[in-house]
Amino acid sequence: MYPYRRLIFRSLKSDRFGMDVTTTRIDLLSQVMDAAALRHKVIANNIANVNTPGYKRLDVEFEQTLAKALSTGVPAAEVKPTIVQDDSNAERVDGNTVDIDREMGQLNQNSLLYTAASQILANQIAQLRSAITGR
Amino acid sequence: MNWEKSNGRQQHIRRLGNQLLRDVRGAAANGSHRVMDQVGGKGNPTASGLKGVEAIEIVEDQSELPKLFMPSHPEADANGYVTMPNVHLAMEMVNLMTASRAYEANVKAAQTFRQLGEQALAILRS
Repeated sequence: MYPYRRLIFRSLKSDRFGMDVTTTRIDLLSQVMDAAALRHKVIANNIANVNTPGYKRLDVEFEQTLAKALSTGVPAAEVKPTIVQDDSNAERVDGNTVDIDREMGQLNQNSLLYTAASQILANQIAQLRSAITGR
Repeated sequence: MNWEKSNGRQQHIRRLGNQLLRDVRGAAANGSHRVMDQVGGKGNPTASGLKGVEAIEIVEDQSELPKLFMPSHPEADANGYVTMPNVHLAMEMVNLMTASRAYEANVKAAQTFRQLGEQALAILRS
């Protein structure tokens, strides 16, 4: 669902200038982690409101804006995740649009995304450290 | 909803569930039973507006108390009627199940949050 693989691949492809690009890649990864953390907050809020009559589920919009920014050449650092109301789900009798199974799926998906980004970031920093220490 | 397709037990549970939803909606409409409220309200949602839910108060169910004709009962009134509690066991069980499932889901979210925090800290350790 999220076009991360493509984005990370693209940022790897443009990696031609050593140090400079490494810092931007670290920036990009921490941005992804920030977005995933915000999405976790939003999903937790949706789960908390699973029995609130009239509650409309919220979602985070980040991947699409980031993909657009990367393809049009806008600096990726300016892309901020935004919380939007999601109207794609069907309403229940009480006007609530939260589907608990879907939320749990999204929760797991989002936590995997966060894990992946944090591990890649840790690798990047380890590489940088080994370049500095020369070991 | 299509009642014909489901079996008797499901029908019963769904009807109870719908009754429950109607109760909640009716209560929310007249403002007397506001057990849960959406914090943050309408408008553009922000990260600081995500505050989940909170219990506002515990309220009494104002629905009618059933009266049973039992003249031999010690609590019977002058006409022989006993005022029974307005607790419907099936509805209470449905409520209980709904609440415990919601609790489970929230625990899962909290566990995931802990995992994410641990992973962020692992970057420092590496």
